[in-house]
Amino acid sequence: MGVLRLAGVTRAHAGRAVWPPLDLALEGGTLTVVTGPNGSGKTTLLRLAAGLLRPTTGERECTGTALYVRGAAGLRSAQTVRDAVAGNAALVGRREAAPGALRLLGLETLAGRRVGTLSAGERVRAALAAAVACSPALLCLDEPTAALDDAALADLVAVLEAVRAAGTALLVATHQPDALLPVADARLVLGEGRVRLR
Amino acid sequence: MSGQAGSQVIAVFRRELAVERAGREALVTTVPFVAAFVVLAGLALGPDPARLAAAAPGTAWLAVLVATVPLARTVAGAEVADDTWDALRGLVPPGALFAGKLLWAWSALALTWLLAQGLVVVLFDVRPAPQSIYGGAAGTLALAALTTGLGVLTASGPRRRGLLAALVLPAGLPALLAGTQLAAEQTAVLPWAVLATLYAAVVVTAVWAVFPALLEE
Repeated sequence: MGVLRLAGVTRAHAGRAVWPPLDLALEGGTLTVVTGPNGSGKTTLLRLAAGLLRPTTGERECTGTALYVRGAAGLRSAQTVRDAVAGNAALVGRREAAPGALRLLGLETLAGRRVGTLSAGERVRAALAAAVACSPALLCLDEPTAALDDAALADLVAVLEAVRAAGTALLVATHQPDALLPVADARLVLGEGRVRLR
Repeated sequence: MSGQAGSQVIAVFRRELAVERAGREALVTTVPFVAAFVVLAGLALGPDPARLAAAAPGTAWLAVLVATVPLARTVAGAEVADDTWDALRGLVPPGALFAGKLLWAWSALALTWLLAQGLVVVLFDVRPAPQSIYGGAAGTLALAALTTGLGVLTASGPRRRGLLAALVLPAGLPALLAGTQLAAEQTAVLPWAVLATLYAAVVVTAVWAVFPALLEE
């Protein structure tokens, strides 16, 4: 089922289009990796896909909740992991999904810790747990791999596959695509004024 | 309001309460500030009971108005600092987000007003007029809407945050005037009650109308 459709979208910063007109259609249960050098517009594309930015030209259609998560962000630092994840899930009426999301991300032992005291890798997992608990139709992850070691990266890939299997469309921007590309359904390459879909 | 939107409003409000319970940011910024403000105002005015009685309603409301500035930071500035604002905007539609944040700010400001009123009653030895309760409810509702709108407007960037006080304090003047007059013993109640009501209605409606635009980048 179609979750996101971008038709001829551009976004201009200071009068200059970040990329040429872009068409993109994402189905539920797919993983698309977005790559490109710094400044190529990966973050802009993800924020636009999530509905946080309005396209300068073109059209965006999205069915269901779209969630944008930057790195390890998305949870209030003063709260415990358990409360923060449950609080976010409650915003979309899914508070009961929080314990399962904590289990999926292996966060049971950290559930009582304050988000602000977690390591960078643990915060990524906590942010992902909150996103998983919300079960969005579209999940845009901006550099979720930056703070992860090899083992954590492998865990992340497993979690993303589980999220995809649950029907969520994933759009993941990363500078370290090697771990994700083997399981990705598509790769979108931004840069040099061009957009390529592989 | 649909059932889902209503439950999202409650969820936003409960999330604010949970964050406050965990971090106590509003508590530790507001309570000492209001207490110091009222005590220092009393010391500055001197021991004359008549002077204290005359100044009491204005002192309490001025404390509430000035306390809206740090409180406004908890609406969106703290979310931006924690990098949670994007997730919140993605999960909750603008109308429900506004209503939930408004409910939180109103609760916090109403408690602030109660604290300030209680302090002037004790320290200035005055008895507030009964209609001051209406002034407190309407005035803090208007200030809560202002706090919510301007808190979001000024959340991104230190230059914008610097403008917060310059925007909130003048814009809150009608609430200060109406609330002060309604708390005074010998005042014509109706005109000030009408002002408090109209001001609250206008501010809540205006901020609700522009809130979706405030959320856009």
